[in-house]
Amino acid sequence: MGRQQTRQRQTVSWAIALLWVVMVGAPAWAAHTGPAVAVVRQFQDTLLAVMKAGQSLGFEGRYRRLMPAVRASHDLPYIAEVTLGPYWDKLSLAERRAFVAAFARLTVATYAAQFRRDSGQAFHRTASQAVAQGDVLVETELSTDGHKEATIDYLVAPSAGRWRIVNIVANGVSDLALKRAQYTAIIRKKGFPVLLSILRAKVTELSHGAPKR
Amino acid sequence: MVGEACQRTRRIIGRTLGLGCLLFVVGCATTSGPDPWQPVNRRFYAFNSDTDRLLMSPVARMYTTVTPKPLRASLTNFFRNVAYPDVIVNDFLQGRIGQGAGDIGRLVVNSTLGLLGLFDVATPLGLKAHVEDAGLTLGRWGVGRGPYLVLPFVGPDTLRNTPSLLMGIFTNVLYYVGNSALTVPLTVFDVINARANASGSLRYMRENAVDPYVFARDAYLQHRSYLQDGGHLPLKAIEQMMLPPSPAPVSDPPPLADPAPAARPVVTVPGRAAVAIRPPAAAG
Repeated sequence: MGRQQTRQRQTVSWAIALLWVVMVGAPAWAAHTGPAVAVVRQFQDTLLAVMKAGQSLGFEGRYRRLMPAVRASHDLPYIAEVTLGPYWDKLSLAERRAFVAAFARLTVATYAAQFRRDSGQAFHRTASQAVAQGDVLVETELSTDGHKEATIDYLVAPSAGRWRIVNIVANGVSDLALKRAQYTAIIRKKGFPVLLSILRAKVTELSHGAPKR
Repeated sequence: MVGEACQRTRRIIGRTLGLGCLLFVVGCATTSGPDPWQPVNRRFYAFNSDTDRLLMSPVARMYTTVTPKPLRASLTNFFRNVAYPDVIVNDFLQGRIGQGAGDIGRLVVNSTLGLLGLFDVATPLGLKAHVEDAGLTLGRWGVGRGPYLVLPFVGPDTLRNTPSLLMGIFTNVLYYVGNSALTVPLTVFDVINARANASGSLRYMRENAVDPYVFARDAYLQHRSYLQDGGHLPLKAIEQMMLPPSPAPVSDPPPLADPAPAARPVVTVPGRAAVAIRPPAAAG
């Protein structure tokens, strides 16, 4: 009898603790990550809207619609800086400005090329959590016709009073890492001007449609 | 017939174990960056790209044109199902007993209710698919990743992962069918179907990559690390990116090999790997 009472007390204690976590902890968590999640959600909504109208908009139309959305949601100057790793410090102010401009155009052009038509894609937010230095990781899934295609995680950081995306990780592959690996390899072998011209040529190539292969 | 299959299996196991021991030694001895054989790898990468452009891509496009999407989805389910014993064996080799039991359930349900695996009825029942192979098992056993490889006709790989190629053969149900008139065309279909399924990823790479070799290498290595961590949150990759830049290297160490600066402050997210703190963003 005594054991049963002890068990009942333990159960009640656990239930109260759980209730406390749900009632007190969850709103605090939501308030903390909420603005970062909103940035990701708004950006994904824009992507889907552009994709749904993708065929009629054409590349130029998608590019024009996406440019303000990407600028508002991504910390492009910071991302551009990180992609150059140690080489950023070696650039002049004019070179940095040229690189950030080319990087921004390429980022938007890539989105405009990828989200060209509606194939039943949808984003689902699965979780979000605060990570280092107050940044927030927003975990989402991209699905097509209800089937999961990829896990897409956004690292959102506070910057100048706003939350903005600083890295996107798809199935464990960091977009920022890939860009940095490629950009620094090109600078190391061929120099910064070649990298800049490659980025600009890539935008032109995407605007004409990628070759079918 | 059964005796021959047993002998073949024993030979393959023997070779795999021998190669495993060799990899363990090589993996432990490898201290340089993950791509020390880059010149050879780049040649094979160019060869694979040309082969794909001239042969595989046109065949895959034709295949996609003539097969309706539901049929391709069912064939994909079927080929994944006949290869699924590989996952189960590696579940148990890694000591993941619960996952292994669930994966056996998945194989049984899909092979029966799912009509030989043509339909994935296990996932909606809560028996979700896992990714395990010999390379991940060796990684779990502590074997070093070893050098990055590009194998002709196969693509990106690592030395540690090469036993997966052998193990994937003898854990595939088709290996034991014994009727080449059936298994050869099915294997050809499997390859074409897999290439067709990869079209989206390859297009993504073509559109995104400014150096396709580096893109493919780093994407592959990052994804393998992600799988090695059990598909958990990729905080390691994020940590890597949020590090302040180290001095510009004179040689060509891949970015994944960049060491973390000693002075870097590190915080710990409960239940996750340590995460380095992002430096403050530059003003303007």
